[in-house]
Amino acid sequence: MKNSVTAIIFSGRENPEWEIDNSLLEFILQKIESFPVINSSTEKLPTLGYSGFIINCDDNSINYFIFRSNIRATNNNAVLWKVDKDCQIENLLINSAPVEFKDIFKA
Amino acid sequence: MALKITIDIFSGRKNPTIELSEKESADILRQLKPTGRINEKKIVPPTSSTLGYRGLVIEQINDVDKALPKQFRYIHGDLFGENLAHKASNQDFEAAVCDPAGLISKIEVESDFSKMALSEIKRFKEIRQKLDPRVEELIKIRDKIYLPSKLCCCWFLRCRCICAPIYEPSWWNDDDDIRWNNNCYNYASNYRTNTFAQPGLASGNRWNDLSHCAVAAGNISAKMGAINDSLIDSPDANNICPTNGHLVALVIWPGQDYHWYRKGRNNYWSHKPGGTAVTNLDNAGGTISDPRTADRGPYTEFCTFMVVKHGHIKLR
Repeated sequence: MKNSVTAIIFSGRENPEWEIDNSLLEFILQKIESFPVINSSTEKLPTLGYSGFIINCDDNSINYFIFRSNIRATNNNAVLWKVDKDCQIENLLINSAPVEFKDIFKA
Repeated sequence: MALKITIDIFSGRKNPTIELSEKESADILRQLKPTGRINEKKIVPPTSSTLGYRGLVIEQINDVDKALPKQFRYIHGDLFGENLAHKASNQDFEAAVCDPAGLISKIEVESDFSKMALSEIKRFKEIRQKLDPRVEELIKIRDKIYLPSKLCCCWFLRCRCICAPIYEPSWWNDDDDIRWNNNCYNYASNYRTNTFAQPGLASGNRWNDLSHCAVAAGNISAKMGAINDSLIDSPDANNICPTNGHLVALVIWPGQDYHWYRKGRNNYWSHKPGGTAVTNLDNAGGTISDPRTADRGPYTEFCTFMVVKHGHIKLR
């Protein structure tokens, strides 16, 4: 798969995964670039149910984990946290998810 | 009649076995002659579920001395078998077998086997002597509730899930491949497939309906899928561990997903939400004494308890 998004939501079933449009991905990455850096995560992850998105870039260089206002960029073993105080990226990913997955986020 | 004596000590390797002629057997049977029944209050039954020395298994070949069953076990001077829980005439028969000049010299074993075996016999005796003083009371409770046979029990009959897997989250969490490719079902069953196992897939009857715990006729629920994988449905388990195997619980996110918990040796539950880390906390951050009352997020429907018998299930 090329550039992809995985919604971390299920425990038993496989999580929904879909390809992300290149232009959308570029927009997202530029946005992430503009956000301020923070030392570590500030959002508490729930144990069960929806707990974020992972964006995988096709060159496997960097992947991004997004949950609410927190964004974690991982490049090999290097980790960088950023804050998106209006949860723009998360909302963007929810709204751009394929129709068959949108109901899951409503649930 | 001839005898075969097996030193029941190993787990992976074959146990050493000594075969005796009819002439030799006659003397041995005199040494093993029952002299009196063991006081019921002092019975410490044998177990087949401990590592290391577990006793001598004696088998009568061809003709049988009717004073003893065809097969029985000798441990530290005690005899156990069908209708047999007696003291043996020779209280130190194990030395007669395992001493370097004893019966063990009839077969080929490692040069240090005698020393090892005698040390093991001593270690096992110390364990039997240190048996929990509550055991007597627990044996009475056990006999009323659970086990069909007085000779079938575990050493430490405490109110804990002694047959449950231990809580070792780092094993599941620290390796990215293990963590990401094994889900709640893998973890609850304690069965790593690296395939994100699905109930029923191994048996060719994968779930296809997650609307509820019970589904329309003709469809396969997550519960049915698990039963197909040889998990045992135990709706009346009431959060009590089985005597064999360990307890798991199935909950449903109606229309969306299923999730599993497993009960650990310390009586608490833990779980692995999908490809994320194993945890012993619920959605509210609290420990889980009962999945029925835990904060389960969107998995609102408690479906059932099930039992996983080690070695019986197959997942994929």
